[in-house]
Amino acid sequence: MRDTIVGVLLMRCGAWTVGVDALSVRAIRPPRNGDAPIDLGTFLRVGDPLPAIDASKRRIVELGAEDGGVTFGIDGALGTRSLTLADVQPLSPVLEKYGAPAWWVGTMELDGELVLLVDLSALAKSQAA
Amino acid sequence: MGLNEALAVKKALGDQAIAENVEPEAEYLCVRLHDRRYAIPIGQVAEVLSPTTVTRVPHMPSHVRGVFNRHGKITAVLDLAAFSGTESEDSPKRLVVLQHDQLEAAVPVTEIVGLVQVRLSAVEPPLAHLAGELAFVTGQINGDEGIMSVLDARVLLENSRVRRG
Repeated sequence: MRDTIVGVLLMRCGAWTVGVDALSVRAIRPPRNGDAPIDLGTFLRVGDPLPAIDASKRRIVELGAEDGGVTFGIDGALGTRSLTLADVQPLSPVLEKYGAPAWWVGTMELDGELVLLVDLSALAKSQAA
Repeated sequence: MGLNEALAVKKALGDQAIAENVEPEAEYLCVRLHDRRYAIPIGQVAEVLSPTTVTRVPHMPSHVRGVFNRHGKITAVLDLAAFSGTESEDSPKRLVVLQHDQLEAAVPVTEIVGLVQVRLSAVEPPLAHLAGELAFVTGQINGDEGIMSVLDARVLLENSRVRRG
C-alpha cells in the first residue's frame, strides 16, 4: 500500500499550486468561446491580489462525464507527477474538525511550496449545491 | 488537562495528599497573548517553536490562520485571538504546538511567560463571560500578576464546544 502510485496533475491556480487526481481529468485544452469554467485561482484566493498570469498559459480542465463533465479554468498546467502515498499527506484532522471543505483532500510539498490536493469532482458538487 | 480532569485528579490525589499533608499540584506553561494570559497544562504542550511561515488556506474560518510544515507534517495554526474577535497577533514571538490524542495544532502567542506549578485547589471555574465566549477556557488561576485562563487543548483541538467565528 505504501508503494501505491498515484498520478497527480499539477496546476497553477492563482497563488496556488494545486494537485488533482490525473485519472479524473478527461482533457486539458486552451480556452475557447462559450466556456464557462469555475476559475480555480479566484475560487482559492485567500485575500492577496491574484498574481499576474500569462494568458497564453491559461487552460481549461475538463472532468470526465462520470464526474459531471465540469470545466475549470487554470493559469497553467505544470505536468503530471507519479507519487507514492509517502509523498502526500491527508488533511489534518484538526482542519476537518474546523470545517475544511470536502474537496480539500490533502497536501504535499513541492520545492518547499505547499500544494493543495483537491478533489475537483467534490468541488464541482459543492458549487452546484 | 481540563477542569473536569483537574477536579478528578484532585479528587484522586486528594486523599493521598491529605494523608501526606501535601497539596497536589499541576504544572502549566504560562503564555501571554496580547493582554491575556493562558495556562496550558504541560502535558498538552508538544513543542514551542520560533515563528515560521504560515500559509493561509482557502475556505476556512478566520480562526484557522493557516498551516505550516512541522517536521514534515502539515500542522494547522489556530488563532486564539480570532475566537474572541480581538486583534490577531501579527508578529507572534512563539508558536506553541498543542496535542491531544492524535490531534495537533499550533497557537501563536506574544510571549512565553514560563512554567508555573499551581495547587489544584487554586484552579477555579472560569469567569462566566469567558466560559461562554471561549469554551476552551475551562478554569482560571488568580496569580500575583493577574488572572490566567486555563486552556484545555482537548476542547480546542476537537472543536467540540468552541464558538465559531
